[in-house]
Amino acid sequence: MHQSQLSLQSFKRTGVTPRRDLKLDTLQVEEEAIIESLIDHPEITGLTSKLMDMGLYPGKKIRVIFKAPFGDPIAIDVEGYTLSLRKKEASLIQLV
Amino acid sequence: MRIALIGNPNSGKTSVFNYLTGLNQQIGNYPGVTVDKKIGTYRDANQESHEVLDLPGTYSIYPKTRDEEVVFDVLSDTNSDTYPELFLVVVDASNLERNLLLFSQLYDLGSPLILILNMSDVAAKKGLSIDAAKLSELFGGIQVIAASARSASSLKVIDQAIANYQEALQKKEEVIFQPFVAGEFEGGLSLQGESGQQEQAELRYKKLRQALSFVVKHAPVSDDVMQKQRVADKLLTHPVFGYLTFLVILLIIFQAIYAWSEWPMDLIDNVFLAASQWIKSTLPPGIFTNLLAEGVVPGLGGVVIFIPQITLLFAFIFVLEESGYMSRVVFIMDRLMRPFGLNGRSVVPLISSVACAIPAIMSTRTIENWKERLITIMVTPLMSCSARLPVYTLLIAVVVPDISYGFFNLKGLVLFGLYLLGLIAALLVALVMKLLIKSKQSSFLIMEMPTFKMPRWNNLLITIIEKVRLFVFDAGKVIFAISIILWVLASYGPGDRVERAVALIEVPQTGNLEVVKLYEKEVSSVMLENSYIGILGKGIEPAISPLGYNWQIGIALITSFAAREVFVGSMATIYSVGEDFEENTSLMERMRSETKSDGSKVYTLASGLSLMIFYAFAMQCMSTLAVVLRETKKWKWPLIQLAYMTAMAYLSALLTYQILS
Repeated sequence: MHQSQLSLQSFKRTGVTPRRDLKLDTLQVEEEAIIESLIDHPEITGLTSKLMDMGLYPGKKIRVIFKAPFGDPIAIDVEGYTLSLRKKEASLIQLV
Repeated sequence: MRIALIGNPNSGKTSVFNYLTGLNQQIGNYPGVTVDKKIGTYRDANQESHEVLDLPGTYSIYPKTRDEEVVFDVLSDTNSDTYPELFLVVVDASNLERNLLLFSQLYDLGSPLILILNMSDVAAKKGLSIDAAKLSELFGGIQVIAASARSASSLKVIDQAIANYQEALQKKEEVIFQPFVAGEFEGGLSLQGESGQQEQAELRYKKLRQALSFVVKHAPVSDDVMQKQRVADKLLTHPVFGYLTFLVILLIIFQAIYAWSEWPMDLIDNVFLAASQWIKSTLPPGIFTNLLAEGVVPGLGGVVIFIPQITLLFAFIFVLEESGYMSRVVFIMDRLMRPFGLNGRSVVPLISSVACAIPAIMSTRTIENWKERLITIMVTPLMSCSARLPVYTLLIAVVVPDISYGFFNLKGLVLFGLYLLGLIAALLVALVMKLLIKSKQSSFLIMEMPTFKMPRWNNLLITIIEKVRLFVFDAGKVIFAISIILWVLASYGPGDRVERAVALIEVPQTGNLEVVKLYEKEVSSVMLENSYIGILGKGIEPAISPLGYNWQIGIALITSFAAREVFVGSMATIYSVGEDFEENTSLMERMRSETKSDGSKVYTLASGLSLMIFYAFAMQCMSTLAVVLRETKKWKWPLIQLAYMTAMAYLSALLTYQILS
């Protein structure tokens, strides 16, 4: 919610069409989305490939099912199985 | 035939391995790396034996961790003599798409495969029905079998499948090979760049998803099972209830280990004591009888007495892991461990090191980040391992009063406190190391959380037998050898020093039994004092007397630097050399009555706690140092570990004694 408001403000300022910038780390519990793409991490090689190996590929439907205390890491349902990942890793997953 | 088992973590591979090999398992090493190599022997219906290799669990043939590198190495070494002739690919049928990524890669490599759809029962509960024939058709007609590792009878289909494979092999049936995804392995198996691996995985997944829409049928099921899992997850990861549950579980484990292992340990103690007495009274007196009764039998007893505790500890850790609870612990602990330079996964080595630091340090390989892994390795031995438990048990029994507070006994609470102390020390040292060790690589944690399930009790039995066997033969050898060396060192001294010292004592001229007994006691203690070990113990006495220890404890400390579990054995040897075995005084009673020259007790609450704290922190395990060297590949790390832990032990013990006495 917070983020889309921000991008709306920047739209008003710059006049560029806003791109809905939804990443997994901003999703609330019980919210559902579809993976659009995986963003390469600038420092950790193999991270995106690891996410892919674990079944997170573009087109996959995911849902946040619960979060650890302090909101990090998060647990997601990937069409029937549960994965956990830190917010930092979740921020590499672009959703639509 | 050489058979290899391969599959994702949590796919139930181990159950299949245990089914095929039973207790015919050995653990070895892959050349150059320290990953455990599990090999077993499988006997088919014709009594022909086959070698079965259990490969580490992996999600893809492209490795991300050291364990997974082993799988890649085995697969790429196609010309090797040990290259598997058949791969049994174990997949979780309730998670088919993700599990088939690895399988489709293996298939395209042209490896000979049998696909085992494990956990079919779980899949059925989720309302999934899998058309095995159609799946087989998609992959060139290879055998696809449905099984459930929960019931051994359903695994019998695996025997049949292996027999079918051998039969087909003899007929030399030609199969036209059609890759699932063309192109990836045309030039053989090689590590492509990350973007290449990613592209290929995406391509595979998309193709699998399409193909599986014809193979897997979803029937609507009541959401009951999944709902229960969710509720359990929410409770166990709750900010208050989650941590509370974890703490209570740990507390229960320690109480149980303390309470349940007491009587079998007493029993073992008494059996070995009786054996020593029997040998002394039956065999003709002489050096050999003494060695047997005072060295060999107590030495053996010192090994066997650990078995009840090791069994219980490994059983609890097994249940925590198998039930799926351990991954929830990793989940709720990750955020808390990060400030200390650790990772949620560090919790598993830290908890396992309550059993033994050696497998715990080896299990740090699942931590991808080097700095976090190194810190975990460096602090893991601070957690109180099972070898410290007998030291604690003995000392608590001797010095801590028997008071109960409701459900809890003071002795149990002291034990719990010692474990807590180890944990706190481990975290604080980790914090210091985090500041000292430099690293650019940042860390990540991506983990599958398996569903909650009942542990497979059959696996529990095999795991425990394996661990106990490893302990009895590996650690046992050291303890046994040291016990014998100790006996020799305690029975002999340089030159005629012992004889001269004994000759100085006035021999009583009366037949009064009391006086003779007193004389005999003095002789035995003078003999020990003048033996090689007595001289050593006396040598370090000035350094340890501020901690509240006498030279007898000094002897136990010196011998414990090889392995801390030797403490109890040393104490037993020190107090039994020259002891009259007809007098049935146990070691504890003997220690309780031990007095200093001024008549005050040696084992008081102050000296006892000081000694326990020394053992809690000191690095007294050669095997752990050897494993640390092997895992870090540098002498620097085990040496730093030895130095900081010894310094910490000495200073904390000094502080404890000085404050309490």
